[in-house]
Amino acid sequence: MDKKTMYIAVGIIAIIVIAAVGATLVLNNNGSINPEKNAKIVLLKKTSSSPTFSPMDKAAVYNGSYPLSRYLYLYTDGIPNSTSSVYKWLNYVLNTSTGQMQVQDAGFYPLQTVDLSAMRAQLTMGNTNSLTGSFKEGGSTTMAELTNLWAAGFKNATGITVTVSLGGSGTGIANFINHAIDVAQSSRVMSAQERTNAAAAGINVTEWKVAVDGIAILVFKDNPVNVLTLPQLEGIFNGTYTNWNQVGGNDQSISLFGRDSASGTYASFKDLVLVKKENYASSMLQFNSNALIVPEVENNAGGVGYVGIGYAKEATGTAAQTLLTSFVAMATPLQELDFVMGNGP
Amino acid sequence: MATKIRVKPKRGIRGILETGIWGTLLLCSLVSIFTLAMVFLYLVGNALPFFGRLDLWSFLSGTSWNPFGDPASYGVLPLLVGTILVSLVAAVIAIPIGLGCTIYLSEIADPKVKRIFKPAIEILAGIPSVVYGLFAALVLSDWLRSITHSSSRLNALNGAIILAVMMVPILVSIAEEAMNSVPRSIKEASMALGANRWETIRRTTLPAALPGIVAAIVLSMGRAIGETMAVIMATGNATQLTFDILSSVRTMTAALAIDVPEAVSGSVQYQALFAVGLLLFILTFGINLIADYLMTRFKEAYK
Amino acid sequence: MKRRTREALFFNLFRVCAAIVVLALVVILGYVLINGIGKWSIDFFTQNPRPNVHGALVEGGILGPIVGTIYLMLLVMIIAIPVGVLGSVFLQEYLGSSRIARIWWMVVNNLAGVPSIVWGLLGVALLVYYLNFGLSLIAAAVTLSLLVLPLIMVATKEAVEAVPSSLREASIALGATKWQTVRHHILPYSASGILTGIILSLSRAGGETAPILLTGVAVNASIPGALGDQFQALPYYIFLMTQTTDRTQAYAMAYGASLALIALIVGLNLVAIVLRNRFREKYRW
Repeated sequence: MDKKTMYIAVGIIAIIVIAAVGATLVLNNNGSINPEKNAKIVLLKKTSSSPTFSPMDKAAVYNGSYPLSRYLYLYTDGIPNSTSSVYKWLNYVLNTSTGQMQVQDAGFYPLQTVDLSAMRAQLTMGNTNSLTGSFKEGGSTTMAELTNLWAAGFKNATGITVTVSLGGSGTGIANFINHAIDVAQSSRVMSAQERTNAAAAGINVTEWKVAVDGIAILVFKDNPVNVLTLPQLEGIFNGTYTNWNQVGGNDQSISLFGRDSASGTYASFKDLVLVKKENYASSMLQFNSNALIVPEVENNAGGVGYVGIGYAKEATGTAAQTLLTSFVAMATPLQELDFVMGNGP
Repeated sequence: MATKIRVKPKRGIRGILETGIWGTLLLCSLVSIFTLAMVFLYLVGNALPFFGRLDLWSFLSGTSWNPFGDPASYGVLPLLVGTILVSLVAAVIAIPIGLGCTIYLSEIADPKVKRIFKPAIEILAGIPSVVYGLFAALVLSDWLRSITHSSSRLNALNGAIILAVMMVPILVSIAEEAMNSVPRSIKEASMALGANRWETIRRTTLPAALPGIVAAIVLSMGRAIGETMAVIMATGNATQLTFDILSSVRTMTAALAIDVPEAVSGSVQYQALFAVGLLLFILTFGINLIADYLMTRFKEAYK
Repeated sequence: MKRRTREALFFNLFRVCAAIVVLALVVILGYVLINGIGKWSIDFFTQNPRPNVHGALVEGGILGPIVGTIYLMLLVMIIAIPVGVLGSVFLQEYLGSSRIARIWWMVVNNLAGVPSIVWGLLGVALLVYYLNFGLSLIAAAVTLSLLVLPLIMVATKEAVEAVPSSLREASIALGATKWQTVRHHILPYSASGILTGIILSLSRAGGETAPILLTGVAVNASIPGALGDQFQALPYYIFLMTQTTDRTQAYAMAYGASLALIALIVGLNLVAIVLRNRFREKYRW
């Protein structure tokens, strides 16, 4: 009797599996698996009479003409001396042929020469922080994919494991202050309050710029609005404007998609756009990753969201093109990239 | 129920061994006592200072939740309404379907079908919440959108439906047990008096099993209220106060998962979040107390 | 309406309800199966997750997450089962059905209903910071153990309660000590119920995301060599795959991993059925 039950149980599962196959063949398979490129990047201008800039314009992001430019950061406890693994990590990250190259692969912009030199100069002043062996890093989800590339390449090059956890820049900084992780990755600067807390916890906060980002504003592909001024953007995200026809578009209610409060992008965008120090509209949907914002905008005729440029490029289908261009521009042998990615000789 | 048997303590090695073993067991049970104490103290200890800084009424009735905002606001109402909205709509969906399924299972289905059904329910109960969340975010939201044409595909309804799917297995297994415990004699008596099967169920079996059924409902609602991952992935987590099921809401559990990791220990945000946690705990505690009471009543009725 | 018609109407309504429930299961499992089975391959189970050219962790396989989840389940088994089963047995035997026992079991039932996120927060405060385990496998494992402890205790209690007291009384009457009674007469007869509870708890522990999110799961940890290491986990991997660029690939990996997780849990449940039947055969009363 009991063996029978077990056979029946197995039989049940088989039946369910077969029924499931049949059922899903009948049901229409929706488009989630094959997302279409239904979003586009909005050009921004500071005021209605300024020139417009796109976050895809590298020079504009570098010189700040694109209003939503920002750095991406790593935070360490003091400047590591040259024997520590954190030193090797920073050395890898702040290197044009390894880390900075991967910054481009992830879709962001590498540091400009002047910034890079300043960071490398800072790296030479190491005298503390002799962590050896593997260490823990955590924080920004905007930098998640970039860090994946860095960690994989770093491990191939040196054999050291950098364990990355996420949770948003705010969470990373909090963990960093609490000594749970050794390095924090953040898409915003640490606030004065956080620095005070860190000092109280005995941490010598050292800031490292590691990449450049231009926060991109995404809207639905068919939205006639192609350009927004900063005040308009502010009005959209603080809830003043609720319909696209108030900013020159169709009669379509605005749906806001943004990050959650643990996110560095949430904070950077707030500082750059909500300049009257007001809060985001409470109707804004809040996600804990940039990659979640993209499908929402693609599925919503009235949708608007903000993402790091690495995520916008993928959304609008320009990623591959940009990558090829940067390869050609940098004239880096592909073999070196292969080696870094672990596929190499 | 276990009878308490008094045994004279043995002497010698066996006695020592015996005591040692019982000592270990005592230790094990103390761990559980310790756990409850920890949870409660932890929640209360971190939440109470918040009420020193801000009064209870504005916390409970404040309509804006923005602990990290500038200016910050600590009104829990949007979260409370979010939780209740999603759970209530889930209950409205799950209870009729679950009860119908229960009645089918315990009264109508023939044993062969039952043998297939019960493992199916157990599988449903065992699917992790992240998989439900995945389904809700990727598939269900699109289906709902094509039916309702809502402005946001991640909304309270999406969360409610997936919660209903998660509630049904618990509901069915407990309610079915309740219905099976009704003595056959009562059912047979009813049918002997000329009632057909449906009338027997309606007038005899269901009322008799009612405490157990209500306990099942209450316990499954407790599950819905306490669910974290599925609602985070399904509802969009907007902090607005709204009763519109086609708009995005944030539940209390989602607020905890999203906001606590970055809060600095001891800060007013941290304490506010723990106040939310305490409220959640009280809510689920209350629900479990009700279920407990009902379950005892239902068990005692049929000893 | 004639009585018979009314009966037929309602019964068909209930059949529809049952069909809806089955439909939900079939649809969800079907989606996971169809979209996930394509990803299953030897590579899928033997390789760690790897970033693609843009950094999205969609290449390679799920070896790290599977191993992490299994390690977690093993640790939970080691920690929670002795404490839960033995503690529950103790409370049953010593407290019997006294007033204290009733209050105690009410408390335990309530613990079973605490949301998983609250356990996660407790885990962070107590294990990661206060006891200084840091973000680690052991912090996550203990947190999950605390989460499933009430479940194991209640299942044990129900199983032990079902053993007729005549067995207990007979054993004592023949001169056995309390512990001998428990070990040789009560535990074997309640083994099947206890086992079901254990397996259910392990499935629950393996599927939880929120507690491990806060206590140490990582995106790219290597296979943990020590209890203090961070780890990967299947539920977190699934969660991560819903928020990665290169959505086509990522969603496919998410479904594949979901299928693996469900298979793991269903497998555990099947093991439970087998063991349960074995014990039931051996220990009838």
